[in-house]
This record gives sequence, structure tokens and C-alpha cells, in this order.
Amino acid sequence: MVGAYPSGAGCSWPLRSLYKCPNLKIEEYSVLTNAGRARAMRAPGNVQGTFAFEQMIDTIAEKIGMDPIEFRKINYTDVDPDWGGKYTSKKLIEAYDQGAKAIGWEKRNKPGSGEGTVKRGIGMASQIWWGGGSPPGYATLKLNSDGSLNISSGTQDIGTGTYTILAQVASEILEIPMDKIQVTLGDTETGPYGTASGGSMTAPTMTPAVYDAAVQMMDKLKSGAAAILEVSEDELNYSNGIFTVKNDPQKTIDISKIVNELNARTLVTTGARNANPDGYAINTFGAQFADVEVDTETGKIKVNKIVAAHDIGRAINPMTLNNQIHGGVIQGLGFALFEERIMDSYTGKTVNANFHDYKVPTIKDTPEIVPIIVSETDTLISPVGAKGVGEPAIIPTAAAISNAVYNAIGVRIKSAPMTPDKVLNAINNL
Amino acid sequence: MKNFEYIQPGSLNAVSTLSKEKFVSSHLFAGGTDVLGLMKDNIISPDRLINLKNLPNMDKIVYKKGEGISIGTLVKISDIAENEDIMNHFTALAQAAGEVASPQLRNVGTLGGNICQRPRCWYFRGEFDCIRKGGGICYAYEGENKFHCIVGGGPCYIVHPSDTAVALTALNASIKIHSNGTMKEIPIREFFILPEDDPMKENILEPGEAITEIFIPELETGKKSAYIKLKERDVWDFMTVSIAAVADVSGSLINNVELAFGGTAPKPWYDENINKVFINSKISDLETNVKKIFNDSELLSKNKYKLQLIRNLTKRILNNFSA
Ligand SMILES: Cc1cc2nc3c(=O)[nH]c(=O)nc-3n(C[C@H](O)[C@H](O)[C@H](O)COP(=O)(O)OP(=O)(O)OC[C@H]3O[C@@H](n4cnc5c(N)ncnc54)[C@H](O)[C@@H]3O)c2cc1C
Ligand code: SF4
Repeated sequence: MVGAYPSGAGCSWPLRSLYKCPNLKIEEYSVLTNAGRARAMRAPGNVQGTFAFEQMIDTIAEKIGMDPIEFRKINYTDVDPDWGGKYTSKKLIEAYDQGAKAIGWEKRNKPGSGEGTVKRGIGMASQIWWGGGSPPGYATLKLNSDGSLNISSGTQDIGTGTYTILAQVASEILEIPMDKIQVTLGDTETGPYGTASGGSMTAPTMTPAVYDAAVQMMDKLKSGAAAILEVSEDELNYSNGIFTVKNDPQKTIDISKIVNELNARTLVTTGARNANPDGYAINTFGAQFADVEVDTETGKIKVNKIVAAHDIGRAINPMTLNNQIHGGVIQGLGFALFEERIMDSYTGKTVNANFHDYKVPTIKDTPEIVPIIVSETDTLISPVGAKGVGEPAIIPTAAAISNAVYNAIGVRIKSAPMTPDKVLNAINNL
Repeated sequence: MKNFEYIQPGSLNAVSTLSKEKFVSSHLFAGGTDVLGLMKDNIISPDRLINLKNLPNMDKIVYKKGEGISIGTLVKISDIAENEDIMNHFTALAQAAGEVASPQLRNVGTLGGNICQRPRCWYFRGEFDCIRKGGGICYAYEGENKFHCIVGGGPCYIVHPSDTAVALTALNASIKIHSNGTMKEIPIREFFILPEDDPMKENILEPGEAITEIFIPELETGKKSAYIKLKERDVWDFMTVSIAAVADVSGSLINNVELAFGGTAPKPWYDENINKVFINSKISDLETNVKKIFNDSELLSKNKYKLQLIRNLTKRILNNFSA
């Protein structure tokens, strides 16, 4: 459904790209509805598509009597099935293996085989998304005469940690402490063009731009140091803001002095996101695992644990990365169990347009979440090696929960959210 | 929002006089957690709000062993949930209070306000001119009715939203009401009304009347009480279905039981015939006995699951007494 105005995203990309399948026919069409227009959503279309598709994959695996992970592994693909491009990196098998271990996959029983009224189940689902970033994207660095650094860019931080990771990348190359770096974002008047918050693009697009600007800054500093110290650039060592002459360690100069001695006041560089490699497919991958309990007398589903194993290239900052995964999983939990726009079909009005009837999960509904990063880096994309995580984190959550629910009760719930009424109706064949 | 007057009278007589003044629409205000929502959503637009906060002695809990407990109308829901006498002797009420909304709302909402809160039907709370708001049709009847009633409906199909009212109904509480200078006491089982009597009101209160306290008689020896509630979300959610029970269970035998059902009807549902199914029955027969209740329910297009749910929860709450 696309609402009253055609816009939005398809749901079929996971079906087309997640597995190797030589004979695949997919038909997808949009339906205009007399409802409000489609709005922005984390991983538009893919949460929905994955919810349906990964349940189908589990169903097929069960029909042929195969373990769902085994089935996914034999249908694994090294190349993008759509056009044959090789992936810059793909660690989906690692996500299956590490996730399965963390959830205790070996404890998984036959569907619906548990005793008692509250039944336990384990399930999983895979994820694919873009998230490699691309040009254009720029960042300007200003090194001040006190040795402090400003980074500015027209991109933004919507709570995801952009400020932190941009500073980190510059700090890593220039060896300037984080507390001497100031980042100015969200203003296209003062900063050069930066990417919009969408497509999990910000980290993989903007960190290489900062990297490029920092490398240029390093070149300027080095040539400045060489000129002032009257040595060649090869004769210099650099560490923690200080150049030292290799053969004469008494001869040193720090970066703030370089700026002053050059009478530059500020050194300025602007970096750009590099082009992506030709002929490659760039994707993020992951697998999430759910451990759930279903109360067969009330229809209520309780999620005990979610393991989220993701291939997102390099983890620049594990803390902000884990926050993204927590946020994605909790939002996915909302999609799986609670959140639904309920529209009166006679009037077309939404009856639950408030935060009380439209139920987002609270902390009491939130399970233990275990993020696992299975990737090291992806240097084919950029020297930084990061892919995005914002959207990957939400994509497989609901599908993993639904497969776990099936494993618990042996009945498929085919529409989200899986509220108690639907579960009871499914159990009692109503 | 329309301009309104805000008054904090110091006596019940003043409350009566102020709320009955001709050509002025008045509304009583306790914690305000429901009143303010109703005003913001344009469901009520009173000329005058009468805050009960300054009335003396209405925020007290007094327990007299052997007699019962009196709870002032202004006692906060959170204080009920945590009161030792209520937890020990009227457990269902403490549990029901603990299930209400969220900690913030429980800290502000009062017992009287909780009982008198307006229904949560989303058509009633939304921009629909339905029967309960004086309009001509019930939008829920053929619309989005998964949370609506399965008994007692027509022409309106709300469920009563209050958790505490369900517990108080099972506990056979009575409600003390100040009515134009005199006091009256009404059993809670007669306090709420069905839409067939008046689809625009949920209880018998008339303008000029105010609840002053709620009294619960001491349970007979051997009886205990409990409350269970299914909500979709673990906190900050109204009941899908809830049940309060006062029961005397020895071993595997149910000697006596009084059940009240929430999320089931336009008022906390109490039916002697349901009690009779379980009185002097065995716990081991629950599975068959629950099938005998609510057979006369009128299921709507999207609330069929409630019948099974009510039966399952009845089984569960009674089972818990023998555990
Ligand atoms: C988001 C949300 C979630 C909620 N979830 C739940 C829930 O899960 N379970 C539940 O039971 N409730 C729930 N509630 C309702 C909440 O508990 C009530 O709003 C609260 O208990 C009302 O108390 P109050 O003192 O604030 O009442 P007020 O808002 O002040 O009054 C409510 C009504 O009672 C009348 N009134 C108040 N005192 C008297 C009196 N002494 N005599 C006569 N009439 C009186 C008022 O005129 C008004 O019509 C929820 C409310 C919200 C907003
Ligand atoms: S159930 Fe009652 S309140 Fe809801 S739409 Fe029908 S008449 Fe209105």
C-alpha cells in the first residue's frame, strides 16, 4: 500500500537478493489506498519484505526437513544474484555461526513440542541491505593555531553518533585528542555538502571524507614541519601532535607551532568521499536470533532475548554502534508485536493516532539484546572501511521473532504486529 | 480550547452548588489525568472545572479489623497499590491499582477519578460523533472493535476502562456519595449502568453529586482475593481482559467465589450465574466449567478471541487460588 500518493519503497529486494536462486520470478505492485501518504521509515519496505520472506524460507526448510540455518547456507551466494557483481565483503556465514552460538541454537526443539501453556521457541532471520555509502560528501577541517581542530560538514547527527565518529576518524590520523576536536554539523550554510540521513549512508559516506581531509592536513603539516626544521619529509616521525627528526630526536616541533611559524593562523583542507569500486556490489549483511515465550492461553508473546550479528564493515565506535543495534532491534520489536496504524475502513480515519493506542514498546517489553559484530573492515569501499548500520539493525528482528513464535507454538502468524488477539485466533483456528 | 473557570472549593456543599449552577457546564476535577485529556481532545469543554483537592479528609485510608476499609476518593492509585492493609486484606484492589497505567499516572490519578474515568473507545476519543457523544451511530459496531465488549452492549459497545472498579466489584465495595447536602451509599454493583439505560453515561452520578469515599467490607474468613489483567504491552496499557476474584478455595475445592470481569462489558461485569458455575466445584473441573460461561455473549467482528481469553484467564485465576 502506498497511501493516496505514489511514493515509498518496494518490499521485494530481500527476495531478489538474499539467496542464490537461478529461477526466480517476482511480481510486485503498488496499491493506491484512500489513506494518508507514505512516510519515511527505517529500512522502508525491507522490514516488511523480510518478515514475509524469511518466514517462507523457514517454511520451505521445514517442509524438506532441513535445519533453517543449514538451508540458508546451501543457498548462500557470493555474488549479487540480481546482476552478478561480487560483494566487496560478505560475512553472513559468520553471522549465522556466531549468532547461533550466542542464542543456543542447539537447544531449539521441534515446532510446538514444548509442554505446558507457556511455550518457548527459538528462531532466526537474515538481513541484506545497502549501506555502503557513496559520493558526494565533503568535510572541511580547520586546524587552529592552538592545535585544536574544527570539522564541519552539511551532514547531520540524528542521535546516531555522527559527531563522535567524525572526530574519531580525524583524531586517529592527526593524533589530536578528542577533546581538542569540535564538530559542526547540520548547517549547509557553513559546512560543505554532506549526505542526508537515509539509506544508512552517513557513516560510510562521511567518515571517508573526513579521512581524506585529515590525510591532506597531515601532508600540509608534514611539509610545513620539514620546511621549518630544514629536513626532508622522510626524515620525520610523527606522534601525538609532534614531529621529531629521526636522527636528531632533540629537534621537534608541535602542530600548533607549525601553524604559527607558517603564519597561517589556520590550516584548512576539504576532503571528499572517494568513488566506490567498479564492478562490485556493496551490501551489509546480518542475522538476528530470537528466544521467545508464547502464552498459549492469552496469546501474549514475550521476547526473552535477541542476538543481533551484523556485518557492517569496520566498527568505528562500538558504543554508538551498539546503540544503533539496540534502537533498531527495539523498533523491530515494535513492528513485530505492537505498532500498527489502525484505520477505520468506513471513514479512512486513523483511530489510534496517539502514543497511547499506537503502542511503541516500553523498557518493560524490551528483552536482553546482544549485538555481535562479525566484520573487521571493508577496505574496498573506503580507507575507513565502515558500512552503515542504522537500517540493517531493524530489518530481520520481526522475522526472527515470528520464526521463533512458530517454533514455540507450531502455528504461523502471518501478519504483524503479532498481537494477542491474532495469536489466539491462530491457535484456536478462529 | 475554550476558556474555562477553575475553582477549588473547600466544602462539599459548595461543590454541589457550583456544579449545579444553571447555564454553566461544570466538571469535577481530581487528579485531572482523564479530565485534561478529554478537554484537549474536545470531548468535553466545560465552562468550569471544580477541583476537589481542597476538600478535607478525602485522602485517607482507614482500616478497621473485622469491619472493613474506607478509602477516600482523593487517595492516589499509587498509595493504594502500596498500602499494607490493602495488600494483605484486599489483595485484588492493590494488584489492580498496581496494574493501572504507568507510575507517573498512578502518582497523580485518584481512586474516585479512576472509577469515574470515561471510556477509551477510540471512536469516542477521536473525531467521531458517535452515540456516546450524542450522535446517531456506533462506529465501533461494524468498525474497529477488537477491544470492545462481548456482553451488555447495545446501542454502544464500550468496555469500562477502570482496573480498580473491577476489583472493587468483586470485593463488593460500596460508594459513598455526597448529594446536595446529604450522603448516600450505593453498592458498586449498582453504581455502573449499561448503554441500554443511558448510552451517554457510565454511572448513576447526577450533577451536584460527588464520591467521597469507597468502603470495602472485611472478607469472610477463608476468603482471599486476586486480580489478573492481560494487556498487550507490559506497562501503560489498558486491559484487553481482566478478572478480579474473591474466593474461598480449600485444596482442590472451590467453596465460594465472586468474579468480576473487566474488558468484557460496558461496566465491570458481575453475574451471580457465573459464580454459581464454580461454587462447590473442583479445580480439576475448571477446563469443562469455563465453557459454561459467557455462552450468551454477542461477539463483534474483531473481538471473538475475547471469549476464549476470558475463559482461559478465569481458569488461571482460580487455579492460582489452589496453588
Ligand atoms: C495514557 C493513560 C493510560 C491509562 N491506563 C489506565 C489503565 O491501564 N487502567 C486504568 O484503570 N486506568 C488507566 N488510565 C486512567 C487513569 O488511571 C485515570 O485517568 C485516573 O485514574 C483518573 O484519576 P484522576 O484523579 O486523574 O481523575 P480526573 O481526571 O480528575 O477525573 C476523572 C473523571 O472522574 C470524575 N471524578 C473525579 N473525582 C470524582 C469524585 N470524587 N466524584 C465524582 N466524580 C469524580 C471527573 O469528573 C472525571 O470525569 C490511563 C490514563 C491515561 C491517560
Ligand atoms: S462503542 Fe460507544 S463510544 Fe464507541 S463508537 Fe460505539 S457508541 Fe461510540
